[in-house]
Amino acid sequence: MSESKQKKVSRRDFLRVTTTTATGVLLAACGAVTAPDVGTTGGTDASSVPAPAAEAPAPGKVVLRLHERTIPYKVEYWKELGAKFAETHPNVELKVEADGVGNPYNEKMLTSLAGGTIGDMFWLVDVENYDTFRAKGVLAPLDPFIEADGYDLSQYLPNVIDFYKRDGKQYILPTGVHNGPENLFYNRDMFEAAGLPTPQSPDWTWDEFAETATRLTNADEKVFGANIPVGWSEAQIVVARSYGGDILDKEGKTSTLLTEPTVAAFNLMSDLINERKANPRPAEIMEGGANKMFAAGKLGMYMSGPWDVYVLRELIAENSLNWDMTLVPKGPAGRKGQLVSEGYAVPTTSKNQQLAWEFIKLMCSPEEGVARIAKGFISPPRKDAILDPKLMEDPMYAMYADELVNNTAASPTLPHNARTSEFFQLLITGFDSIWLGKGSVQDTLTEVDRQLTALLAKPLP
Amino acid sequence: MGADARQKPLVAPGARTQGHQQGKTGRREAVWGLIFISPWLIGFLVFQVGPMLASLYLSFTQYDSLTAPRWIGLENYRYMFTGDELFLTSLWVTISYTLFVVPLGVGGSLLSALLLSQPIRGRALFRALFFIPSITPAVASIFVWTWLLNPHYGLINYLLGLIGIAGPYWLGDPAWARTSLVLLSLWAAVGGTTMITFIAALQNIPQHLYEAAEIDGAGAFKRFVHVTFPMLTPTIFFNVILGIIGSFQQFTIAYVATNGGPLYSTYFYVLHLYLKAFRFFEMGYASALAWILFFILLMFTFLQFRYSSRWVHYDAEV
Amino acid sequence: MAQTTHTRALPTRVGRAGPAPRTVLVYGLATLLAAFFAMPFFWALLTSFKTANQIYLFPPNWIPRPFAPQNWVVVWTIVPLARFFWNTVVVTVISLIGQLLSASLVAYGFARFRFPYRSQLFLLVLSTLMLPQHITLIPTYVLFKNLGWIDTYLPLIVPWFLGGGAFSIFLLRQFYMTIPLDLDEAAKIDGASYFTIYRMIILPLSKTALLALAILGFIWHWNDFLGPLIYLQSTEKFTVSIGLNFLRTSGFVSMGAAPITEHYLMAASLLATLPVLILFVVAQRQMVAGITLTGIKG
Repeated sequence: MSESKQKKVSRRDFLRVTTTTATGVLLAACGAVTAPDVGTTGGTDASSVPAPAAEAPAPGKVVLRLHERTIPYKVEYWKELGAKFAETHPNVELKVEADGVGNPYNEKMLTSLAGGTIGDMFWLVDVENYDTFRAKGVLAPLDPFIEADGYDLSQYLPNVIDFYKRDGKQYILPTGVHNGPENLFYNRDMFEAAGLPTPQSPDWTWDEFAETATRLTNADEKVFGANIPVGWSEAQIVVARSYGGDILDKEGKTSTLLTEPTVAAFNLMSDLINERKANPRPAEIMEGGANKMFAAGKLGMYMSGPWDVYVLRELIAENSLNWDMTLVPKGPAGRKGQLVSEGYAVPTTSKNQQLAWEFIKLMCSPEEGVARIAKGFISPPRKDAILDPKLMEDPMYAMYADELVNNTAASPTLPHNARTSEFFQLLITGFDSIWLGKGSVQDTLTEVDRQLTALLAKPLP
Repeated sequence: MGADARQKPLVAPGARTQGHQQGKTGRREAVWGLIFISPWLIGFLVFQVGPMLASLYLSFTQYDSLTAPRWIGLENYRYMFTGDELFLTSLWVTISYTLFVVPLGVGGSLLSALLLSQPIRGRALFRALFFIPSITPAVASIFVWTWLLNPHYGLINYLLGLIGIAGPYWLGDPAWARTSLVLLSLWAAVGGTTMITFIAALQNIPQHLYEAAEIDGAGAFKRFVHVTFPMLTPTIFFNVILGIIGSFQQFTIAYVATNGGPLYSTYFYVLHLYLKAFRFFEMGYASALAWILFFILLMFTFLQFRYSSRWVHYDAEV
Repeated sequence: MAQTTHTRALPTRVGRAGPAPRTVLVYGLATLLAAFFAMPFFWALLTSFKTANQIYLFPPNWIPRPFAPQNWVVVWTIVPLARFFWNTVVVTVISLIGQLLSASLVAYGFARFRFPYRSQLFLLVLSTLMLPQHITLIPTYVLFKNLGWIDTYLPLIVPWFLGGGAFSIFLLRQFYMTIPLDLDEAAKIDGASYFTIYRMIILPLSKTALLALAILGFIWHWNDFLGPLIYLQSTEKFTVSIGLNFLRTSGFVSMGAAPITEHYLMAASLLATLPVLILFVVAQRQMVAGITLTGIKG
């Protein structure tokens, strides 16, 4: 790019300026962190390092950089794991580079990828960028390492592993999995007060769900009977699938919005919101999310992922609201979920790919999977971790784990292609007129289908 | 006293400035002028011009930030005007936002500055309270505002409900969402940067002008019209120029609070650009969007400078 | 002399018989607006003293019960806030010095000297604000990477010594252009150099503007998020704004349970606000405008 020329001209000026203006503190902080220099990829004999500036590591020490989008509690966990890793790799120091959560992660990730400074591993959530990164050659295939180690994949859920396999190459070894908003949380007290039977999986249907939701609703008290989080595409997809429909076909190439089952699913959601007024519009949900609303006693039941078990346990402790969890109702095509997984990609620019692989193996070990679940995070998609007998003593967890492992057919991955982020953005905004009661389901789906088809016809970026 | 006598255009051909100079003195002045602005020139050449030109180049390419850019000529610009349905939508959202936020923001700040320049008790406290929004971190203020504006469980509709008014859906209603964001922006901006610059400008007005006006028998209103306002025009001009540039680039609040919805009612131009650049891997197209914005803003700014001599009063224009 | 000599408003000479309607209006309006501006702040303050399960109650409980002042202590351990504060102070103070020094020089050049293409150059100064920051992010990043400045404070500091930013230059230029030229001329006759005029006339007479710029610059550097986010990699180098982002979890994490952290976020935000607020309260005492609207010479 053009600034490399720029740089040569002005480098001396920079040095002059920096030496006259910058203080000693800064000079100490200044250094070529990013030069991923001559380091070998060997796990044990690496002699040269991309040196982090402030604390110059001892010679022969390798800094393994993990780029993470996460919360403080998880950073702590990775640091502990880094210490554990150092027990077997004494010359390696794990450096967790986390910037907190939310949208800014994309800016940091893409800038670092463009600059070639991303480090040795970076966090990736499956459908969002995976196809693009793989197609653009960003991801280093892991097969050489898997083969060299004879790494055993038999415990892994095959559907998750296959998702990251393309043309016979394995690009990611997933470190976490869940099956999306396939759980239904409900307020026992509210059901009792209304004299209604509690939801009974696996027989419950969406029609019963809608009927119950209507009876639990109390407009004066601002209580909604149920929440299907319609502003969240993943929830729309779970409902559509249970009717036998979806947003896109399996290849991610054609819109299936106008197929009969998908229309029926959107009719159900529209009916709940606009006719029965039993389901909040996205804007009507309490700030902080449906789980907060549920904890405040304003929601009879709601659809969400397994993580809310832990959130509710924290939120509700003192309010002594009685609640329970089951699975979402079934539609004409049965009960469905959707598979979401995460992993740590090894970028092709990493000079420590072997070490990164070693660390990912540690992340994916069954012991660490169990430890992560116990902390409220998610486990690698391996049966020996997910079905850990100690964890299975928790009935709510057991219900989720059993569904995840033993009913994989119900939860395929989300539709995806190299424009995943873009069509999800379209789905988030495009259906607004349904949820606002401003357009009919058929008209809105037709319009979104038109936009979606135009989007899919565009050449891939 | 007045802003009338000055008709010299600020943005004038370079010839004018040279015409007045008399030989050596003029050249010496020019050299010293360049010496004084040289820190900026160096900084611009070193840090800014390269990235700016790079983005201009990228606007003629297909660039995903991951692999090398591919030259496609004017294709991005063609698509913008013929294929991108959201280009005009987002431009209109941005313009209509600017039309409210800039006049109300600058006007509100000016009034606040005048109010807080009165010799009132507890002025320091009032100023601090007005100023608080602009120093509250955005993550905190957006959290609090979305909570306050929640249609059912927010404080504002709760209070409105107490006096029998059914409040709107605020951020959730296409008819109210942009208004809500204008409200939020005004809340954040009126007591902040703009107000501070006005307070500083008020402070800078020489007292003898007021004394002279008072001797002439000018009342409070006349003193404002003939002394205060003309002396504030350079700062008003400053705030209008930067206000427009800033509001055309607004997108953080929309991204965090509404994600452009509902029904694209808060889909700002730079939000469109940002999504293209950082979510959809179309940095080349986003660069083209950015350069169209650049030319719109450049044109606005140029015109404002050109006509500024009609209303902006400088005591010392060289 | 352009500068007003008195600095503080004297008590008014009227209104002994009781508050004039105009006084009532002024106080009423100020109070109303202050309430509007400060309401979210006080809500944040209350939230910062709540326990996790009180934050989302409806109807809200105004007074935190149980009262949880420990949030303000715990927050220092969730993220290394003390470290972040120190880093932010370093970056802010050094950048601010550069910004004030260089912008005041550059603005002087634009306001007081005639040179070829001055108007065009000034438009060029402003044009640097017209491209969205995000669009030059990657080229700028690559530039700093080639300099070896990634994960250092240099990208956040050095540019401020070279120009101080278009905002600062423009603001100071506008103020300089209200300082009468006679003063320069008189000094020139006395044989003062351009630099002496800058130091002895321009700077002292723009004290208020420089103070305003100092406040605004301080806030800008203190709250800057994108710069530290992009250029810093090591946690121990982060600034407070990034620290706050760590605490913003709700609604953003689908990968695992996110503990409730809004009360911590509010406490940390208020802590982050405090230095700026103190600075403002101290600095604004110097800004006592010499005008009144009430018809009384202040």
